[in-house]
Amino acid sequence: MAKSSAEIQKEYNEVLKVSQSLTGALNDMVDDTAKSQKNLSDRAKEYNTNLKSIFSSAQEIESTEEAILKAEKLKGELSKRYFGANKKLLPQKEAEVDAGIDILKNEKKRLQLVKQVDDSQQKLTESING
Amino acid sequence: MKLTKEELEYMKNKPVFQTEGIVRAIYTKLLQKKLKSNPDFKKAIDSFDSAQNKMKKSIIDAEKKGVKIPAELKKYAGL
Repeated sequence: MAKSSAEIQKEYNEVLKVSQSLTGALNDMVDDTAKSQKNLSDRAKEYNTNLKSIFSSAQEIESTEEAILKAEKLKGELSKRYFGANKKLLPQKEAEVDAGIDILKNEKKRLQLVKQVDDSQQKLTESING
Repeated sequence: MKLTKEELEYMKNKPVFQTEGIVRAIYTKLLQKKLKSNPDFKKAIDSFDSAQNKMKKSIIDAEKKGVKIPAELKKYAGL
């Protein structure tokens, strides 16, 4: 049976969202790194909570863009959170944050690409229908 | 030339178009042609390719530094 335009629109809207499994996996990565880093300071733990909150806020193109900017800003604070006894953990944490940011950047590009295809499709349909 | 709605519906209802999916095939072909000639789309593809490569490198680098990368992320990155 053919899908109604409402069903197609709903499916398209779903495609334009960052999947919950992706943001969940990003948060799992932060949790796993924290588990591997023993004796974390409270400031470092607070940093991880903020980072997970930022990753979770990525829902569609605009909020993903905002999440990238916030995560990049938070990355600048890493050395203030990982100091003293925690300083040796800094390179690992930096690599984890970089990977998280690059994953969000990739997701944003993917969503933009999907949107471009949809826009072209709509224009083509309009031109055929006159 | 633009088809009228009636002409389009008439074509879609022809058995040959329904059974062979010709309307869909033509539509896909036209969409591909439209996208291929769109410079913004080409830029978006290149930009996405570049972001993918950067993401893969970051994940590999993080893993080397002891970050445990969840299986979903590896799958997403095509690693």
